Amino acid sequence: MTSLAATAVTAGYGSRVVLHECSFSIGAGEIVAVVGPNGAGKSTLLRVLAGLLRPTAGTVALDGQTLTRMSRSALARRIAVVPQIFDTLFPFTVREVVALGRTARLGAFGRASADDVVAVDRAIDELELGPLATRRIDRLSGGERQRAVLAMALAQETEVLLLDEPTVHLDPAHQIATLELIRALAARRELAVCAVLHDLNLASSFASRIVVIADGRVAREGSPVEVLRADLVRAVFGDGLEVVARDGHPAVLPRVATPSR
Amino acid sequence: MRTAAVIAFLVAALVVSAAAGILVGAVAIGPGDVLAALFGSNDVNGTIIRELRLPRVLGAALVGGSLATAGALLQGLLRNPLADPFVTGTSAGATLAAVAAIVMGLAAPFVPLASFAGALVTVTLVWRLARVGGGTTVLTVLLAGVVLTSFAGAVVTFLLVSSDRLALQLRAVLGWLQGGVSVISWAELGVAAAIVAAGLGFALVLAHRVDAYAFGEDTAATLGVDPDRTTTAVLGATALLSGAAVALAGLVGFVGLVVPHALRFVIGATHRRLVPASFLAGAAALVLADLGARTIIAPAELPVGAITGLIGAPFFLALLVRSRRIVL
Amino acid sequence: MRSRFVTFLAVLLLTLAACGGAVPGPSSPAVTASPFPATLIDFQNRSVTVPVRPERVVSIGPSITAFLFALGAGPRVVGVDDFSDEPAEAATREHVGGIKVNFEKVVALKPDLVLSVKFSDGTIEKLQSASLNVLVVDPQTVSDVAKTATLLGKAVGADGEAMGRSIQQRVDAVKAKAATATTRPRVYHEIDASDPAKIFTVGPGSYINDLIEIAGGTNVAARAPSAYPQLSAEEILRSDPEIIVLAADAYASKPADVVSRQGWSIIAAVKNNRIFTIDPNLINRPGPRVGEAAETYAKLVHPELFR
Repeated sequence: MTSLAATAVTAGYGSRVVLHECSFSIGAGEIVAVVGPNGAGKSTLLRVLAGLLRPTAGTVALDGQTLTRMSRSALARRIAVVPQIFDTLFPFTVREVVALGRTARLGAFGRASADDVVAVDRAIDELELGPLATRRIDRLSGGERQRAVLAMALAQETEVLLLDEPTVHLDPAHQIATLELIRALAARRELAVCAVLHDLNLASSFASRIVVIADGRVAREGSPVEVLRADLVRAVFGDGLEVVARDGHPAVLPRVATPSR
Repeated sequence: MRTAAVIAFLVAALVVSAAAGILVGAVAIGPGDVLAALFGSNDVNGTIIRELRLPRVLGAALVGGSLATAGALLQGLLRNPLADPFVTGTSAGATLAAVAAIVMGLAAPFVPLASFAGALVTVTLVWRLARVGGGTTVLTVLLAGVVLTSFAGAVVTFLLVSSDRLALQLRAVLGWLQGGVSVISWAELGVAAAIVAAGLGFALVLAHRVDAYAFGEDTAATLGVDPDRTTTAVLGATALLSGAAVALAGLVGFVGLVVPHALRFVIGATHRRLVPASFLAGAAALVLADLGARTIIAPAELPVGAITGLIGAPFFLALLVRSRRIVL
Repeated sequence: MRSRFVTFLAVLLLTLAACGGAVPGPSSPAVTASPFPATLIDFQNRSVTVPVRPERVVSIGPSITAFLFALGAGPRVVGVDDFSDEPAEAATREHVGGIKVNFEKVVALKPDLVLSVKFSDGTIEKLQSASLNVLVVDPQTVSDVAKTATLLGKAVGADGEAMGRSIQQRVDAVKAKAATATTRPRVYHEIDASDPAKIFTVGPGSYINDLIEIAGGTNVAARAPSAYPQLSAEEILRSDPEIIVLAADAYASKPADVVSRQGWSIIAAVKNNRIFTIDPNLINRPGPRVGEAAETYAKLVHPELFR
C-alpha cells in the first residue's frame, strides 16, 4: 500500500519558517483535505509533499523512501501535482497538455512510446475531454482547463495525486463536479489524494480525512466528524461560524445574528 | 501529417530563398553562369559565387536559424512570447563581450567564444531577474532587457572612445551594432557552424522538456524535469546560438521574436516541432532579409538589422498590446 | 545610419587636406605681403574681409595648417584642430577639437582670423555668431590645391600665388610623363575595409581619384556615383584591379590581409603581387605636398617611368 508520510516537517523560505514539525500521512484510496486559514501554510505543505521544497528538519517519505533522495524524474512517476496556476500564453492543444504528463517517461528527443499514447488516451477518456482534444487550452473555459490539467496529472500514472485548491476558479456546480470526479478517479485508480481546499463544506463532503493547519502546525487531524467541531472551527477560523449536522456530515455556516429588539 | 507538410514547406522556402540570395548580387550574373559557377567554373563568376555569395547566404541562414531557435527556447523557458535574444539583451551582452575581446587584442577565433560567454552571462542574468520578478515575468524580462541593452551600449561606447585600437574600427563596430551579415572566410563560417550545430543539437534534445515549463517551473519539476539542470542546459543552448549569431552578424533584432511566435499559429506550441521549424523558418527569413538589405537601395547596402527591425518592431508592438492583460 | 555616415565624412574632411611643412619647392614665403584690408571669396562663395595682417590665426583642418606653415605663417598660428600633425611643430599649438570643434577654446584664443574646412553641422555659423572672422577653405581636388595656396596667401599676407604655381608645375610634370605610358593600369584604392561587404574606396571628384589619373592609372571606381563610394567585394573582383593601394596605417588592412581575403586570389594585383601601401597623410590631404603625392603614386602605377 502506498503511503506518503510527513514526519515532524519544519520548512520555510529563507529565514521565515512557515511549517513547524508537521506530521501526517496519506494512504492509497484516501482523500485527505488540507484546510486552514489564509497564510497558515497549506500551499507550503503541499510543496513539501511534492518534493518541491526541502524541509529544514524532518522528512517526507514515499513508502519509506525519502523524497529528497529521489530524482525529479522518479518522483514524477509516483507523485503528480495539479497546479493552481494553469495559464499559458502559448497555444498548446488539450491533448498536448495531457501529454505533458508523460514528460518523465518520454524517449530521446521526446519520442512517445505506445504506453505513452495509451496513458494519454485513457486520461482524456476518463475526463471526457475527447471532443476538446484538439482545441487550444487558452481558449477553454476555466472548468474545461481544470479538467485538462487534471488529465495531465492522471497521465503521469502515479500513485499519489496532490491538488492545490482545485476548485478555486470554479463556480459551485463545477466545484462539486470536479471533486466528484477526483473521488471517482481516486477509487478507480487506488490513488492517495491530498487536496488543499478552502471550502470547509466541500472538504467535509468529499474528504475521508481532514487535516487542519493553523499557524504552520497540524491543529487537528481526523474524519470530518472528528475535526469539524464547533470549538475547533471557531478557534481556528473565527467566531462568526457555527457547525450544524446534515446527513451525517458536519456543515459550517455563518452564524446568523439574532436581531436585537 | 500537418507537421511534416509544414517542415517540407519550410525546407522548400529555405532552398528557394537561398537560391534567390545566390542569384542576386552586386554584380549581375545570369542563372546559367551561376549554375556553372556553383559546379566549379574557374572564372571570376565562379569565385564571386562560391567564395563571396555562397558563404554569405549560408552565414545569413545560420544567423537567422540560430536566433529563431534561441528565441523559441527563451520564450518557452520564460513562458513569455515577447522574449528573444535581442529583446532580453542577450545579443547586446554578446556584442559587448566581442568588442571587449577585440579591445584586449584577442585573436579572431576567440571572438565567437567571447560573444558566447557574453551571451551566457547576460541570459543567465535575465533569467534570474525574471525569477525574482515572480508572477509578472513578461514585464520584468522586457525591462531587464532594456537595462542590459543600454548598459552594454554604454560600455561599448566607452570602449570605442577610450581605445585607440577601436577608434579606427569605429565603423566596423557601428556596423556590428546595426547588424549585418559579413562572412570573412570559410574558416570563420565553419567555426560558427560548429557552434550553431552544438546549440541546435542541445535545443532538439531539450525541446520536450521546455514544453513542461508551460505552467511554470514548479510544474515542470513535478512533471519530472530537473529544473536546475534543464534551465542551465537551455540557457547554455541559447547562449551558444545567440553567441554564434552575434559573432557572424552583430545585433540583428526581432527574428528570434517573430519567427517562433508566427510558427506557433501554424504548427502549435510543442517545442519538439517548434524548434526545428523555427530554425528553418528563421534561416529562410534572414536569407531573404539579407537579400533585401543588398538590393533595396542598391548599389548601396542596408544593414540587415534595419530590415528585421522595420518588420519586427511593429509586430512586437502589436504583440505587446495583445498580451497586455498578462504583461501588466 | 546617417550619423555614421556624417561621422565618417567629418573625419574624412578633417584628415583630407594638408601636409608637410618641409615641402613645396621654390616658394620663398612672406616676402611680398599683400596689402590689407583684403576682401576674399572663400570656398562657400562668401565675401570675407581681412582688415589687417592677422597675428592670431586658428586653423581647423590639417591641410590648412600645413599650408600656413609652408607659407611661413606658422608663428602666427595659435590654435589647430586635433588632426593637424604636419609639420610636427603644428601639433604643439593649442588644440581646439576634432570632429566637434570646442567653441570656448576657439574664442578663448582670441583669434583675429579663423580658417576652417566646411562643416555641415552649423559649426561655421556658430563661430561667426561668436564675432569671429571665419574664412572657409576646403580643398577637395588636385585643382583646388593651387587655388588654396593663393587664397591662404592673401588671407595671411604671404606669397601664395608663387607657391601655387610651383605646386601646379610639379603636378603637371608628373601628368605629362605619365601620359607617355602605353598602359593605364586599373587601380583599386582602399580607404577602409572594416566592413568587408561594403568597402570604402575613392570615386570621381575625390582627391585620390585625381592622383590616380595624374599618375596614369584608371580608377576601378571612376564611374561610381559618389566621391567616396562603397563597393561590394563582388564588384572589386569583377573589376580585376592590376594595382591595389592601401593606407600604411597601423589599423588598416595589410597586403597579407588582402591576399588572404576570401576569393581575392583571382585578382590580377594579388596574383602579380602588386599590392602597395602609401603614407595616408601624404595622399589623403590636398595640401602643399600634392606634387610629392603625385610622384609617389606614379611610382606605384608606372614604376617603369618613375623611379
